[in-house]
Amino acid sequence: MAKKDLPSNNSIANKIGLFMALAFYVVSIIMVGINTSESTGIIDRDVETITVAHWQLEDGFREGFDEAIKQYEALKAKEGKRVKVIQTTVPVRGYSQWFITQLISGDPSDIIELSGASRLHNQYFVPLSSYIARPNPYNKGTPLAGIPWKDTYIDGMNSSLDQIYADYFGVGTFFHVTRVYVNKKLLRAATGNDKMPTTFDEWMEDCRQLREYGEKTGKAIIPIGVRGFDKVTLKHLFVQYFSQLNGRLNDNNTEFCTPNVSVGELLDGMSRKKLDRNRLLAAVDLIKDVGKNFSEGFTATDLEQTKFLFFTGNVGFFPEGTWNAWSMVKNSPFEVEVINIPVIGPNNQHYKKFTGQISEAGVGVGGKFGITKASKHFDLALDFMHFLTSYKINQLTMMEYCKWPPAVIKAEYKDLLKKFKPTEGDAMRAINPPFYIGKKSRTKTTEVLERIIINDIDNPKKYFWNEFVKNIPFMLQEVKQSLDDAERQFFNLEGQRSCIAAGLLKDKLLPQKQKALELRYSMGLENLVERLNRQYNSKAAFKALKLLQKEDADEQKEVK
Amino acid sequence: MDKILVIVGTLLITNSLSAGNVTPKDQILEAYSNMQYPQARRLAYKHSKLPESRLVKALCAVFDRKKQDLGYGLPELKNIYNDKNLNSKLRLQAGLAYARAAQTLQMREGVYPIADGIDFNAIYDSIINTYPDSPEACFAVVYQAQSLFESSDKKNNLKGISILEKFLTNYKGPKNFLAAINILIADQYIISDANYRKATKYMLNAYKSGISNPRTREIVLYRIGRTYDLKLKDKKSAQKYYRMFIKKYPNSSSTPIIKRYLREMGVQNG
Repeated sequence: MAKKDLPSNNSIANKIGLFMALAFYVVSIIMVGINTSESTGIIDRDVETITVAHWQLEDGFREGFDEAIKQYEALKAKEGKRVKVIQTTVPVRGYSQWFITQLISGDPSDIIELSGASRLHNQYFVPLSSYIARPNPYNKGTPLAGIPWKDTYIDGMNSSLDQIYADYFGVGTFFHVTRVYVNKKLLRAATGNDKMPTTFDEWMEDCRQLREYGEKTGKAIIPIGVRGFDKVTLKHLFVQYFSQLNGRLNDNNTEFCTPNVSVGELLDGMSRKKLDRNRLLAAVDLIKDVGKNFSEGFTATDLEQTKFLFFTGNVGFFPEGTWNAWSMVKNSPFEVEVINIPVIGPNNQHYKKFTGQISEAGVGVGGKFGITKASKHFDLALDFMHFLTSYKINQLTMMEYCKWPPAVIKAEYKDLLKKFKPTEGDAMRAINPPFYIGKKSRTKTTEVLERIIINDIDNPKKYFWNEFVKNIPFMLQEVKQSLDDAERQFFNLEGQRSCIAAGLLKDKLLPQKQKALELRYSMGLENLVERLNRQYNSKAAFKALKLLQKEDADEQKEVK
Repeated sequence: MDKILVIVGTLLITNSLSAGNVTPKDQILEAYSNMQYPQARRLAYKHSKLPESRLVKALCAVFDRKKQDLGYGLPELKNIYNDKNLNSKLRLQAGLAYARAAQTLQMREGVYPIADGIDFNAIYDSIINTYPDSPEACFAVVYQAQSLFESSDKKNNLKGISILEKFLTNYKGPKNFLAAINILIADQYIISDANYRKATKYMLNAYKSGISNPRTREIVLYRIGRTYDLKLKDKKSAQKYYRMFIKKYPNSSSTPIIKRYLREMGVQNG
């Protein structure tokens, strides 16, 4: 009997399922019809709607944007325009896939936070070069009134300039710098005072006292917490101390008198023995000293673990970007002090080589938002981007809600944010150590530093140099790859030139559009010239690496 | 249902009306200009009698990596360039794209045999001679010089400089293309000859002629001051350009550095 009932039940269920599917199909057709109808739709046709999408799920970011949207809609309503801005957020883990899918779907959000390769930006986002030279209309009545949009940015929008296509596909909203977060309570307990370290040696002395305090109290104290898993902290500290010891190389070693010395120029200097190897390697000693204060398994510790250890009161100092500042301060059950990375002071063995504290002026701006070419509301989207990046609103969203440093100049830094104000230091520029070229050789270099720390290598500079020479084949591969890429890009750039030229062949061309295309056309030629210069530097790097490799082989022969 | 039909009908009418405002020629060029290759190709095939369609089809075949057909695109661009019945602007674009594509494909030795043996320099010469004041001539002369600058023979490097200098003397076209050529000459004087005096002269020319890229403009002004200071030891001129930089770019990351240079020169309030 039961067996007989089964097919009957299934059949009813199938019928119900089919009926439901049909019913939903019919209802959806009716709803689409009603919603797209001019007269009776749910969607109000008089309201111009744009969507803004991004992946910033950090505390306060969405709330800040919500407030900006609220103010914008109210402002537009006063002007008699009915406008709606919809904010969409996507978690960072799936953002790149979502980003590409949105773009190729043909119906993406109007404003999207940029991600992925330049090629995508060039293909799917509106070039903004013809808009950035005009003042931001929402800066009227502020200290930035009348200033070109580009110049209202702390980096002059330099970090928004696409290096390959020589155009601006997005505008930024914030910047970040690295600071050291200090557990004040723990430091006080260990050192007996509230004095914050300003020099490297003071920092190391505080760490020594923290270790002693841990031993005395039996607590598992980690003087310096690091992001070891992604090697971010070590990479940053190495560049920082390398720059403090070699900053003059930017001043005096540029063949083309550019603001920054290139790695090619540095390698060339190294291969011709024009640079002091001892000085170039001095930062390795400092990293070994700092590393003594990391936890034992630091290479496997990730950001969240270190944050947890910090919150539980086990970490004394944590060098980290300002993107985590608010959560560090807010979530710690003790007072957190924020300090700059200590500089090499007079008591340090390498002080004679110290060239100065690094300037953060003009630090790169992030959180770049672009307008998609498929947007049907370009003017409104541009207007909202102006509003979002204006003096008042950028400070409102970033400083008041997100506690992040804003992208605009002349911002009024208050309370915690005062600590994030970019410092000019000793007006020295950061410099890329010439021991790596690309991602692979950089990882290998950082791994060498890790081994120096973990194995307590006796002569760290000698060990580092030997490992650097061993890594030269990887660096050569990377240079070769970049030269091959450059050749491919020359071809792509011609494709891009032909596209701009085709636009200029149109019969009906608005004067503004014509001007924009002509600007892009001449920028394209300038970009090509810059790329030729970069190619020359890459070739110089290749030649120098080969020479360094040969020198080392000759030295080995002599030793034998 | 009626409503749906009305909506569809309205959409079709709107579409046809809006299409009527833009000529097929402009639609094709607009699509290609926006790098919407599939759409550009589709429109070009739809209006295949238009000369612009011929150009866009050939350009798509060369530069659309997803549907690249060099066997069709390259010879077709050459044919368009040689077709005297066509508009000179179209021919110019076809010629330049053909020559540059061939040149850049030849850089990848052995990978694109279809480009082997194409004498791109002859086409560059022809473009420079036939359209000497066009922006395309500026591109052609830079492309041509690039081959000479890539040579390890100093004579070729200097020949490249001389070609660019000669071109500048004769060029009377839009000024916004002059900056790039001047910067290239400046760089090459440094690379080939370490001649910083001439390099400075050309950087100044570039700066005065109006550099389009704001970032490049800033860097060139920095370089002028720094070259006077570091290489030519002309402190007076260096100070002049350093001051100009500070005034023009007060928020630049280079401004604190330049102020330090001035302080190191003993200039008060640097």
